[in-house]
Amino acid sequence: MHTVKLYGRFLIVYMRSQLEYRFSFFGDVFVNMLTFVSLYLGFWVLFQTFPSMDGWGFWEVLFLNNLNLMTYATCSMFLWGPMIQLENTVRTGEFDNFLVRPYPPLLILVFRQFGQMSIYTVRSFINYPISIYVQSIQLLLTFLIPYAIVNYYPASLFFGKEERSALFYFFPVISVAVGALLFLLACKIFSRGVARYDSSGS
Amino acid sequence: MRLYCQIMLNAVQSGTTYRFHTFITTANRLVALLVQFFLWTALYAGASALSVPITQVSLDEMITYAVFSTMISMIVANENIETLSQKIQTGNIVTYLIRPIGLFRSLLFETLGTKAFAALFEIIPILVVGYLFFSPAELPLSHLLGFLIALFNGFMVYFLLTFLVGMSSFWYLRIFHLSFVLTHLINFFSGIVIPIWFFPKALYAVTSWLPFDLIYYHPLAILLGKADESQTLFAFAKGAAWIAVLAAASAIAWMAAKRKVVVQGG
Repeated sequence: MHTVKLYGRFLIVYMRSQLEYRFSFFGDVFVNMLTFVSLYLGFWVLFQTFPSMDGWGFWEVLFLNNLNLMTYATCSMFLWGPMIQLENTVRTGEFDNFLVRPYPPLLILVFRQFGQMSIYTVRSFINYPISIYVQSIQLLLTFLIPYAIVNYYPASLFFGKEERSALFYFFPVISVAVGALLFLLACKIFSRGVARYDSSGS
Repeated sequence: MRLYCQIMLNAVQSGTTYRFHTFITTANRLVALLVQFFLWTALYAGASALSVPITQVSLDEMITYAVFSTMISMIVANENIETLSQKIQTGNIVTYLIRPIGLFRSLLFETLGTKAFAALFEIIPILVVGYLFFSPAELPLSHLLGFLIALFNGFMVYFLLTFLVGMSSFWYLRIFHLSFVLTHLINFFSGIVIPIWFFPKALYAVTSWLPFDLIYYHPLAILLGKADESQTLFAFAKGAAWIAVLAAASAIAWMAAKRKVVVQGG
């Protein structure tokens, strides 16, 4: 309860600081809305010519995208900002940390680069129903980088489309569990990172 | 001339320094191309299943469109917005004022220098992979000259648009607003993913009054042989007109900015 109250206070302070620069605040809002408008317009134009996207209609694909955007918005509201900042503080302030680790520092950097690539680029796969891809990509999006859990499986359950990819017919049901599991995993990695950071502090 | 060669050479060298960055960019574009390949395949399959004829273009041609659209995005890419906004905000723009050649030409030749590097490590890989995996349609070579002219126009239009957005940093600090607006306008109106021939009539009319389709749609339509002679000539004329307008706007912006930068520096 205390946490919720505290969070509320933080939100109010944050909103005030944002509204201080009113013009740029509304600029931010406008630009964000434009992102969605251009996305929707693109789908609308496509469905003017093409009747279906692997059995999905215009509104269904829009729903799929909105699920993706909604989870992204929820995530960025709580986590995205702090995580980006975390990376910056690590990079600018404490680059030495890479050098004293038992891993080759270059390898860590390379992994991180690839990680970022997978975050930004692989996400574009789930703008469309993943049943349009070959099975290996579907597997990748389900097990290795489970983005499909974010929108495809819930939406396919919602529209009764799960028979289209019979391989994973049980996935809509367990997507909540997968989400919880990944969240726990992320928390674990984070606390491990914090522990490691303390011990290697200069 | 020597000076311009040196600027281009510097850009080539800095390109080779960020080899890993180049690799990641190319990988990203390949992934985006892969997504498009499956998207168009699914859309065409859906149309033929419901026997809806797609008269404008065949699937093979659409995949060719996607491959060459990716190639164009590499050719026209530049760093104008980042470079200008960063130099203006830090005040480093002053180094351009003391150079013997103008800001615009410095940036242009820097960009051209990066292209020499990009040709080897970005453009050729994309074309090789595109042809190996996606088997695009055969292209008649007779349209090559028209394509190159339209591509030059598109390059200049994009260069001038980004130059103008970058220059706006003199007056407006949150440059990413304008940069985002430009990106979204281009994403939708340029034909980078969805060709203009799929647009409904009203949107088609709007698009023809905007400069963005000069960057992707017109060069690609000419390359695929989808533009007849009059449409090709119209595209050239439209390109020339927009380049003139945007160049004039850039010159005015730079003159106004020079006056402003003195005030800031004082």
